[in-house]
Amino acid sequence: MIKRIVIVLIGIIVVVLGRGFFFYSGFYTPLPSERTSYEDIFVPPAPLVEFSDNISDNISEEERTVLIDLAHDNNFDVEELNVLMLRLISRDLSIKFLDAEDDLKKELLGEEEEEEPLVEKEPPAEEEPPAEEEPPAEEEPSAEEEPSAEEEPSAEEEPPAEEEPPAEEEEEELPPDAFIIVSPQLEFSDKDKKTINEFVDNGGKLLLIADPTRQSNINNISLEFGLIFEPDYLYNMKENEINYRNIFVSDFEENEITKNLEKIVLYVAGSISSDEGGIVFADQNTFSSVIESRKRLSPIALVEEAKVLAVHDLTFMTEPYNGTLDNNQLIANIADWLASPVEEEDEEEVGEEEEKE
Amino acid sequence: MFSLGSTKRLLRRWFISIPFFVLLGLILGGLFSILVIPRPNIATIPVSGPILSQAYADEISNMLQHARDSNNIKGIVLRIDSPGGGASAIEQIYLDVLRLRQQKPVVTSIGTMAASGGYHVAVASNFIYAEPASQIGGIGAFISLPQPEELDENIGTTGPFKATGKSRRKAISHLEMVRQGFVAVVRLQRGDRLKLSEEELSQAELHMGVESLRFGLIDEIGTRSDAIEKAANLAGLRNYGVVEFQFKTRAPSWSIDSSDLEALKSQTGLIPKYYYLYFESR
Repeated sequence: MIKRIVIVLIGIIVVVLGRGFFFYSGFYTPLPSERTSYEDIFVPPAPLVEFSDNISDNISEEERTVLIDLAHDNNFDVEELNVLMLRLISRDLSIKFLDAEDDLKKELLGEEEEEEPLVEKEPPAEEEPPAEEEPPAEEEPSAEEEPSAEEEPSAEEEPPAEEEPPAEEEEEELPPDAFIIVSPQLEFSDKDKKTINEFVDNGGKLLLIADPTRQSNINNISLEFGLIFEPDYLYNMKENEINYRNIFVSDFEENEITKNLEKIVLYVAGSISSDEGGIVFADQNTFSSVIESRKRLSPIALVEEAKVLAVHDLTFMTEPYNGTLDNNQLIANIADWLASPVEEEDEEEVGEEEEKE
Repeated sequence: MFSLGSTKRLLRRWFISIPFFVLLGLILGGLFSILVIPRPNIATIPVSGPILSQAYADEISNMLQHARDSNNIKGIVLRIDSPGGGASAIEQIYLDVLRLRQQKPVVTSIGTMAASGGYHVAVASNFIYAEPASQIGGIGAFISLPQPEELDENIGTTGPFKATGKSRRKAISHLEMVRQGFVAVVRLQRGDRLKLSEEELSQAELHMGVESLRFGLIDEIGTRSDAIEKAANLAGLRNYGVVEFQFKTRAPSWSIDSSDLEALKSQTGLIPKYYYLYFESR
């Protein structure tokens, strides 16, 4: 009987093994179980630096004004300039804003637009002689500007009328010493460009700011001064402040904007192309998202005998990013530059050079 | 003619004869082997579309668990065609695949794309196949940064970050941690096969299948059939069937563009959420 049971078992085993060999050729050997060690993941805290604002000695003692452009659908909030404005205020600069309805030429150069009064007054002049008296009457409702209403008819007729009221008004409304344009979305008219050029030629300072994260038409005005804000952003995969688009910059050309700077952090900065206008340069490991040729990438440029400063990043000027490394010092330097007059020697030298040429 | 008595004698002799017991053993062995050694199968599990919702991630996890628990499933093929999804959802699937891999071989077959979170899931498998023109990589994450809190006198909160979760700066810092975690996962799982440095991986570039093979992001160029064969080979199978798992619910639609990103932002509201997701920004 045992023999028969053994035979049955052998039969069972043969079939089972046969089936097993039919389906299987071996066994799975699992890979060693490895889980990521999250202990190694570490992000260093932001390199914040305490800052004390040492105001430059070169600052003019005269009353100075800075005009900030809000007339070109500028893509920023005024609050974003709080840090810079505070620095300007601490340097006794007055801050004014250019609104859409303001006349740029009047605000920037202290001169009235010449064409507008003529355009307004031409039709009545053609229709009826008495209408000559009407334009001033139309302007009367603007009670605040009564004196100017009186001025305009006289301005049309004879220049002496311009000389009568200015004694009081010009003291109140001196043209600004610096003009700040941040991310303008509307184009500047040819007339506006001419006015800004004239302003800079007369010794005014122009600060142009754009940011790669914001739509702007900044090149419309920056090209007047040979500056191109490139449609890119700069990044560094090797060394950065938490994110590849937050780049460290420590290569500076010595001048009043870069004094006392060792290292700054720019937060999503773009590059600016100019003819040797760059004053701040990214390192070898920093690349442009657009420009592939290796050239010195510069997010900050200073041109026109140091009268036009272009900055392709706004974020580093805002809280809390201004507190990183020497960013506050850079903002203070920009404020010093805006608050100090153009060096007359330089102007004279330039004039002499031009004469020689 | 046989009489009834002689028939009984013959049957009695047959039932005690050796051939009868051999046949009995074979029959019992056949029945027993069907129970003990069922026909082995390779299961294919789809990981497709953006994996944004927890419910969708759970459905994939349930399939993985079923494959792990099933006796006749001996190997798994992940058919990945995904741009990724929410970071937590992706990590859940990744960890479930790792757990499954401890018991059964998992082979990935990449279709059109295994970008970002799609690739995060793929690296958990034993072996990765892709087609020559598959899009692979996009290793990294993004976050919709918290907006500044809009104060409302009618809403009270108990802390400065109650309504926003964290500051924008902290959110960026956490994003960096998420990036480091993702890169660490890829480096760990690909090991010596990987030919890209951390810096190159962090570029978040999408590579073609043929490039990915050169960079060690995948193991071989091949199709779903190759992946099934490989899974069977790793499982030690000579003959097998193929079982296709399918979603109970329809997989989410594929396209992720900036309009969908706006929808993502609106979903997450003020609370920042991290994504291992590839999308085409405009």
